[in-house]
Parts: sequence; C-alpha cells; structure tokens
Amino acid sequence: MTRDSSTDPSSDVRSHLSRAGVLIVLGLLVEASTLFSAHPTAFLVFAGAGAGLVVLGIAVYFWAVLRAQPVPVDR
Amino acid sequence: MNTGLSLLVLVTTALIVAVISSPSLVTRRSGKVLAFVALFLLPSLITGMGFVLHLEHAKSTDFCLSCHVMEPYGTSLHFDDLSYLVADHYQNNLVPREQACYTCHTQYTMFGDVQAKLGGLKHVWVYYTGQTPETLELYQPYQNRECLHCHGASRSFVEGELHVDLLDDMRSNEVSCLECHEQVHDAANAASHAIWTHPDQDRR
Repeated sequence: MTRDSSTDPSSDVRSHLSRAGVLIVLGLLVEASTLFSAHPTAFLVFAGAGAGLVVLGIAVYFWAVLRAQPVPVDR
Repeated sequence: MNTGLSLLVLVTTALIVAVISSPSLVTRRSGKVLAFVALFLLPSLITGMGFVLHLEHAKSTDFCLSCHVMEPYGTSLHFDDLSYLVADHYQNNLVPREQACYTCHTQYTMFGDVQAKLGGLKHVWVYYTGQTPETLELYQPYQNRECLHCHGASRSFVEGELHVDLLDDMRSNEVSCLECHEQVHDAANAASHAIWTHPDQDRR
C-alpha cells in the first residue's frame, strides 16, 4: 500500500532539522539570558550571538525544507 | 526579563525538542505546520520582541552611563549647582530620571526615535572598537526643537523676559537656546564639582 501524500523525511533532512533545532534553541537561550541585563554588552551578545544563531538555524531549516525530496513510505 | 517572553522561549524550546525528537511528526501536514511554527515563526517573533526590549533598555540612564566614557556626563546630573542645565533638569524631575539622557538627546521628529537608536548602535560600535574620540561631540549641533518639545508651550518660555523678542528666532533655530543656557555638562571638569545627593539616599 502506498500513500501519495505521506513521506518520511530522509536522514539528510532529519539531520538538518536536528541541526536547525539545536541552533535555534541555543540562540533562544543566549537571547533570553541577555534580556536580564540593560548593558550594551548584553545587546551585542543578543544581536551577535543569539540572533545570529537563530537566523542560522532558520536558514538551515529552510535549506532542509527546500532540499526535502518525497520518499515513498515502506510498502 | 518579560514573563511572557520567558514563557514563549520555554514553549518554543519544547516544540523544537518535540519536532527534532520525533521526525515522523513532520511527515504529516499538521507536523509540517508545527515545524514551521517552532522553527521559524516563534523564533522570529521572540528575536523581534527581544530587539524591542533591548531597544527599550537602551533608553535608560543606566544603559547610557554604563560606558566608561560617559561617567563624567553622569556625574554632571548630580552637580550641586542648578545653573547647569542637566543638574536642574535631573534633580528637579524636569525629565524622567530613568531616561534622562534619552529625553534630551532623542530627536523629536517622525523618525527621531529610530535615528536616536541607530545613533546609539553607532556609539556601541565606536566604544567597542576603541574608536572613542578624546573629546565627545554631538554628531550635529543641538537643535532647539528638542528643548521646545517640552518648553515650547510653557508660560516661562513664551512670556520669559528675555525670550519674548527672540521667540521666532528660537523656534526657527536661528538663535540656539544654548547661547544663553550655556552651562550644560562641563564633563571635562566634572570631578571638581560638588555633588548633590538626595536626602532620601542618605537615610537608606
């Protein structure tokens, strides 16, 4: 039996999603930690490291989505 | 930190962990939507909200004075001499103390808030790259517009003995307020000034 619309993510896509998730979670944690301080350094860390990691993670996620090829489910 | 934002970070982290720990989830349409929300929408929203919060923090007097080079300017807020504009405004609550620098140094124009924040980013860059000049100067001459935002309609301004004949010139910035009110920061000699402390501070 096959299902036309159901696909399993390939291992490549899975690993990209994992990487994207890890990058985004790290970025969010960095961002959250900087919001406890009203200091220019906190802003720099937020913009440079936190937001940078989040943007990178989102880019990896979109890369994974764009590269995703439908893989038929096991018969 | 904002409680709502903290919760949003926790929820997003939980959703991301759910998405990456069970990849089969994203085979379904609902799972794909969930991944899009967890890996794009929520992180973008949190980052945007974080920027807004940081820019709000950047309005605070503490933020401005946290850079070493600004210390003498912070000291001038406490001069025991009300002939200094900043001391008078700060000590008499003519500006909100927690946003004293921002209140006078933002531009009261349509995009003045944005320009002030971009200027602040430039300050941060200059400070951290070691390009701070020996003598700090404004990027452009101080505009009367910033003074008149508060004082423009006040009786002491429109009926002031020395103002009456100069109202139009001051409104058009042809005569600067600082030509007469010239004692502003005196940052170069800040250390030599007597300092005023609020009586309530002594009692604590």
